[in-house]
Amino acid sequence: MATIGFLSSERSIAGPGFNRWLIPPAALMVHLSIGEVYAFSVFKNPLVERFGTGLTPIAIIFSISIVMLGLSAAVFGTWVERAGPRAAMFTAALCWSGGFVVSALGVATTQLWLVYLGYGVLGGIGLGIGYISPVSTLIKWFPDRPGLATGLAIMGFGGGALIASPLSSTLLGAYASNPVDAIVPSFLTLGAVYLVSMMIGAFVVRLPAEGWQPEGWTPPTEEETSDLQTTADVSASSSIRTPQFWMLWTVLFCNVTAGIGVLEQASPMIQDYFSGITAAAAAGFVGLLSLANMAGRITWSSTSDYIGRKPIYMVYLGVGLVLYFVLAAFGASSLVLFLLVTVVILSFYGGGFATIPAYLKDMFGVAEVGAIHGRLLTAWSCAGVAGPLIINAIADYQIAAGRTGADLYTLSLYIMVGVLAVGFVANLLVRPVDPRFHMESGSEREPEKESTASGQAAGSES
Amino acid sequence: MSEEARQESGGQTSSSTGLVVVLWALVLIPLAWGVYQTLLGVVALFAGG
Repeated sequence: MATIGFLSSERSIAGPGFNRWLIPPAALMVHLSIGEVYAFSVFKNPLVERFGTGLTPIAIIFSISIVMLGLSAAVFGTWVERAGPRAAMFTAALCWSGGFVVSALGVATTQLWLVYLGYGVLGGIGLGIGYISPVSTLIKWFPDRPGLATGLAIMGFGGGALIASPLSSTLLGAYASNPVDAIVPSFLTLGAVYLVSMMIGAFVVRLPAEGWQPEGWTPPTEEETSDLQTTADVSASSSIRTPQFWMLWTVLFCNVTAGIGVLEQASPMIQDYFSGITAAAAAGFVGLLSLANMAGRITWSSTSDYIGRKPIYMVYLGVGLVLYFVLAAFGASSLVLFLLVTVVILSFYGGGFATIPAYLKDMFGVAEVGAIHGRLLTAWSCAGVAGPLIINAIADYQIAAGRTGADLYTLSLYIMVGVLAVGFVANLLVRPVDPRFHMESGSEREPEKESTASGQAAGSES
Repeated sequence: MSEEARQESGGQTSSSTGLVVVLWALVLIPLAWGVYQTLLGVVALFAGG
């Protein structure tokens, strides 16, 4: 895929004196925009009414977009690495905003397939490319604090929903007395706002010049780094042949499966656990979990810069496992205990997302970390199906067996304890990558060429 | 470094600091609004729960 001149990575190299603190807000411009996907449920009921259909055909829109997120991050990861962050952000902006425009057309003409194509497929590709676009750039600008840098950006994905949810509700109320009539202008407004926001990010973002280092920082030598921090690089195509990639895939899959199971059922769950909880209070609980999810991304990912990636995942998965057990065994005994436990669980869920790029950088080096991250995000797509499936299927089974209240969730939560135990063991098994997978020292200096070569290889494989 | 180069470098630093402030404001203000709106909902959990 060719890149237009002004978007190319060569044309986006920072000049001397460029302030690296411009990069996190540029990344946030993208992540705050695409984070809207988690607030899509605001449109659920108006869309059901507009298309005169059930909840499931409308829920499919969100599912398509999340599956496309994982697929496009995996497929386009090498291109994102090769073309650079500006071209990737620009493309993501066009896809994400274009998705809203196509969906608006679908709603206006009552063609649901156009919404699947727009928000689901086109928007989903924008999500995938946008999600990974700033990751390797941030790691290159912040080699001294990669966890903080990627945590800041990925926090935006959690924060985007906090903005989009009240914004979408406001738009639906402002454009028409009936929210159904306000869907089209609301989609068009969101598309325009996100286009501007993401384009600002695309034009601000820069790559550091060859050999640039933060002032007063020198790269650690092999002796100074821990066993799990490589100074070499592994190409994206080689990374998927290492056991370490699949261990980390399992770690992410287990962490996300467990978290998404609670997140997806948060509102009915708290009302089933405590009979006095109103629908408004349950919505407040969902908001509280969203805040914990966002805060966990920056807090835990930054902490990983000090205590290391493997230890922090021991905490996410090991302490998480204990907390799921506490929730299953004692959660119904106290609202305060229930809230404390679920808040920490969701902070670990967010932390798991935000820390994984830095973990990948430690294991595989910085040269193609964005492309490797893209491939790893397929774990997210799989967990997005597995987590809700486990919780919903077991809740249905328990209802059929005549159980009520907290009993609907106990078995699922114990299953999540097992899922987290699998992730804990996978993390425990992570060892340094065998040097035979390392790139030649020549290609370490020229990752661009290596990326191109592997990109062509990936293209010919697919 | 020549005087001209020093001035140019100083100008770039102050303008980039201004840009940093503007960009962070562009992302933090909507985020703060979103957090505030969410907290209003969370209050309902503790007030009415």
